[in-house]
Amino acid sequence: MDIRIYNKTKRIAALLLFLMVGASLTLQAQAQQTQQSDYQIVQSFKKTYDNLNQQIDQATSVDQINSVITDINNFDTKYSSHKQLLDNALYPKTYDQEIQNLKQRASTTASRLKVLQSQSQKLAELNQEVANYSQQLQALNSKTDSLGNLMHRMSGRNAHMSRLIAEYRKSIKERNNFISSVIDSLFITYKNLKLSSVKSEAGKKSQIGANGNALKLIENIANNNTNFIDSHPTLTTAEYLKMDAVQKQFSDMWNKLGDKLVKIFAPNNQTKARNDVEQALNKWQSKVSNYTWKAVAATFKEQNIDLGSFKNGSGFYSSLKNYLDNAIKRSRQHADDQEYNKFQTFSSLWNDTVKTQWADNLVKANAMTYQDIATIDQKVSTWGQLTQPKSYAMFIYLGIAIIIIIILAFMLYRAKSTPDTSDDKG
Amino acid sequence: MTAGLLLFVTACSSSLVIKKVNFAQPLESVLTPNNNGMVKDVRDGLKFNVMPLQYAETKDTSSVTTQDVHLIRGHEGYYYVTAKGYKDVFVMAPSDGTLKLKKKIHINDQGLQNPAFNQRAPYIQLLNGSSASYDLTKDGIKGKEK
Repeated sequence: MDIRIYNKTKRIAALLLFLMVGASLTLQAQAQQTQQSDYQIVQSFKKTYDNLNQQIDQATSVDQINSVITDINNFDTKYSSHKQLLDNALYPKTYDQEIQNLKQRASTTASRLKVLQSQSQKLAELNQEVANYSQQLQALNSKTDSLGNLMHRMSGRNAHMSRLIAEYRKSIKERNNFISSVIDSLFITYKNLKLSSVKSEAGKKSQIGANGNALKLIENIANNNTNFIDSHPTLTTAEYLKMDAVQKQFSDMWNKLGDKLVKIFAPNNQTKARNDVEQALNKWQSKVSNYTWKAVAATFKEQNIDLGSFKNGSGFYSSLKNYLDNAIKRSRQHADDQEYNKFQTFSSLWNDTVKTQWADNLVKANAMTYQDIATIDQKVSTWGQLTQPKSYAMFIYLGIAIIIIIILAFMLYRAKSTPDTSDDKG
Repeated sequence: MTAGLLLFVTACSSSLVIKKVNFAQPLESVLTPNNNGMVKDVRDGLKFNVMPLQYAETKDTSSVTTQDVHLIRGHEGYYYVTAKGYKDVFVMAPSDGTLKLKKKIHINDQGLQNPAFNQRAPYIQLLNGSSASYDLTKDGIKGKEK
């Protein structure tokens, strides 16, 4: 029994000893915690504050700024217990103001970096898109080339040729439509891209290589088309006009976006990059324009309509106007069957080909406006009225009507002047 | 009339006294002496030469050996001054362009290794690193005032 009491007492004593040691250590820890220099706390606060500010300025990614924001929150947690001291030390500023300022700056930077990140991602997607365009264009070129070559080899075998020609025309159309879609896509996407945010990223990419570089794509498309025109001499006038319209669209796109694209993709070599693209575009423009207007003139010449020579849309319009003015003048003086035949040939070409097949592309290529087309149309109509063979049907009908009236009047007169004999009989 | 005149004369002749002023400086100032021993507290404009204190501590004024001077003003208006290596804290009373010694509080014989003052009204807390702390009044260490 005594031993049991002894053991119990021993256990209680041990427990008390343990509690005392624990309490002593806690007090010591508390004492150490309170034994901090206020000055050091303030200095440490200021140093960390400056450091965090610096980290905000130096953050270049969303991950980095998120890490800084976490540090700021920890910083706030650590020093909020010294708020009173820091309010005094930071006077006239306050602890809350300083923390708020830090959080605000971090938040602004985070927003900016998020926009940057999304712009960079967008640019990466665009670069991928541009790379895909290059591949698609390459594929379309190969297809058109091989069809062209096949047509050349197959010449003479008519049955097979007609199918090949249809396919060839389709591939050229497909190619033109594709280039138009590239223009639209490039324009829409790059127009809304913030230059400042993508400059450096794109600059790096442009130095890596041409793949995904919109500048190179534009230059390649221009060079490609120049070569394409040379190597495909069998294009129709409508196809040339379509190419001319595409070229104009491309040049317009370049005029609007060129500066931006150069700054994005060739920040260190802007003048040369701009010159290269412009040279390629000018060459393409000159080539397509030359072929187009020759083809247009040839189309009229095939119908024995001599418009004279012209090298551009305004020249074409002037030639048409002169031709029609002369025709109208001629018809006013003397309209005969020959003139009427000329009119019919011209009218047929104008209505069935120019207005139906060319008009849209003439307008898209800035060669003519719809107003110009309407003016010509009006002249064609005037010419038509003047050359229309005179109709005598009306006079014949009028003569017949007069004769009928005379006969009827004569019959009526005769009926009235004949004596009635019935009474005599009765 | 007589009472009003008496009040006026009293107000003009006797010194105006504002009571219950708290002079406590919330945070100590740590000032580095220049080559002449001058220190200046940019926060409150206090400027003085530390050499008399250095002489009192080391009996040497041939060069400025005092490193950072730690200074804090207590709620009663006295300045508590010490520095690394000093064995004492000087309690100085400001008066007519002077700082006059009110009390020299002896801390230890080894000298302070890392002194720092905290405002812990009604005391001034002196820390020596994180190892020791002393609650000071204008008369000495709390509980040991003489």
